[in-house]
Amino acid sequence: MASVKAVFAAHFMTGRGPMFRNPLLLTALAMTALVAVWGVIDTESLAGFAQTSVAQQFKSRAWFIMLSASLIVITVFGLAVSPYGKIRLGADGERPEFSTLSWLTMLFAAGMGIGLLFYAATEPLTHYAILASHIGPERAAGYALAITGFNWAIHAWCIYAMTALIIAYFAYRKGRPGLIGTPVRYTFRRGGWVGPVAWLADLLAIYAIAIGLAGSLAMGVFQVQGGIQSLLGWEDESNWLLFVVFATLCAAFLLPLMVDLSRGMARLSNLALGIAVLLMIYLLLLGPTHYLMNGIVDSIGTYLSGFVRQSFATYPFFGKEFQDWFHGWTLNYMVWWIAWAPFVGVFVARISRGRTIREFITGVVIVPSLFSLFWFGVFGGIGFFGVLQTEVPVLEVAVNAPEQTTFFVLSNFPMSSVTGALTIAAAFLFLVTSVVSASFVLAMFSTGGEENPPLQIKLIWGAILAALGLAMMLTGDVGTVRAIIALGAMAFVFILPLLVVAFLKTLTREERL
Amino acid sequence: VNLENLIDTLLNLVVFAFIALLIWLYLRDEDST
Repeated sequence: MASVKAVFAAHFMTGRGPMFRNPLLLTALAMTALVAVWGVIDTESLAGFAQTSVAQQFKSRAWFIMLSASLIVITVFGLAVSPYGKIRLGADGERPEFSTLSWLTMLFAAGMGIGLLFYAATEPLTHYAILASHIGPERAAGYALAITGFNWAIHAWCIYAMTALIIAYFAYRKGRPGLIGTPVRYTFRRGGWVGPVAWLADLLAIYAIAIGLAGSLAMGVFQVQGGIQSLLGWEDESNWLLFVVFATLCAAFLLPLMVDLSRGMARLSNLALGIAVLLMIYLLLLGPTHYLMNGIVDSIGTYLSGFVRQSFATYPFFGKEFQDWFHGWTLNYMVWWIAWAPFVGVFVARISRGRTIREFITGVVIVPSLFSLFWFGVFGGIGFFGVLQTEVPVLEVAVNAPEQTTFFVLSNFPMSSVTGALTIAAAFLFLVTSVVSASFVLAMFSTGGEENPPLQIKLIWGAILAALGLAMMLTGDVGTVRAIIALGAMAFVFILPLLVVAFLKTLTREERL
Repeated sequence: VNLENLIDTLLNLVVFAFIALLIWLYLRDEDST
């Protein structure tokens, strides 16, 4: 800890460090720290505020959120097929930095995270629990898989692709800093509002990333706790296990933050990805393979045939139960993807330099989307096999203890203690690597696009993420965590369309086809 | 007019104004002073 202390002494106490000359960083830290302190001191009031205000915003603005997300999808596909698809994200003669195969592998890694592990079987089963009484169990199962796919596939990846495309275009083709405010600064040249709005865009992106990542951190800790409980049969009524997992996680990400372990981090992330993919293959082969493959193909058909309808569905004529379900899942996801977009976008932009817009969109949207459909098809399919063909109480687990569903599914297969332990390890590794890379991106965004941000700023972001994560963990409920994430991202919902307009304006005015 | 309805109207007015702003920003000429 000596070096941390020295860093603090040098940069904070003397007042000569970069922190005091950076209003963006100071404001972002103050905003996020305020939420963290509020959440830790008075968890109930933060949870209540998040739930009430998100409910109000979702009720009033559901149409706008769905319309924005779907217009982004249309824009992304439109760009891919238009003559603009030939434009390179870099100088005209530039070649891609990575081979297509390693690029696709890296995209695939970007798409995998704690969310997929957590919701693997839980989400399709939760949709099923609501739909079965309305449309019958068989149709409900197919629809539940398709709606899960809708939440995780093309819309999510079009939102990521759009953001990454904008970052990459202005950074590699226009040579500007890879910041969220850059398109606004570059495109709109008149008016005193440009600087402050671009600054606000940077700030809101930082805020959305910090809250979004902390939410994932809390969910991951719930899952590791749930995994250990179901594996060892422990009870955790006083939540001591939850805090042990959290403390271990904080200790685990401190070292990689202090020492530059970028290669080591990439290896750990690949290891987690490898474990997750192996688990999926294991379940596919040892489970009812034909049933799962049929389910996957069937859900792709349901998904594609209902794609347009679902893209604009806001359920205005349904009762409160359906409205709450739509707000809690699809709408929440759309906001969630927007919250994550600057974070994933920076990574995807970095690995895609030199690709054409068409290549970029094809890779970024199709590969991870197919993987998501396959992933949920396997885990969800096993869940439905349990519900529809056997007496296994998997539905009860998904509804009452969502963080234990993945482990419950695994417990019905051979070597469940090994696969359960591997899942815990993968969840833990995903968490450590996400916090380390988010601290890096947050430090980069808050220091004007610095590619090697100072150590102390990365450490401060690490600490803020931990504190925010703790605040969300204390709510003890995944639904509340999701509401807090949505609240953090709501303002950024307005920034993304502004960036798209700036990008389209520059593209159509400055590119000769 | 109850409070809930008023908040709903205000939240949507902000969205309408934002959409109008986006259209204006896309169409305006950046080069003229």
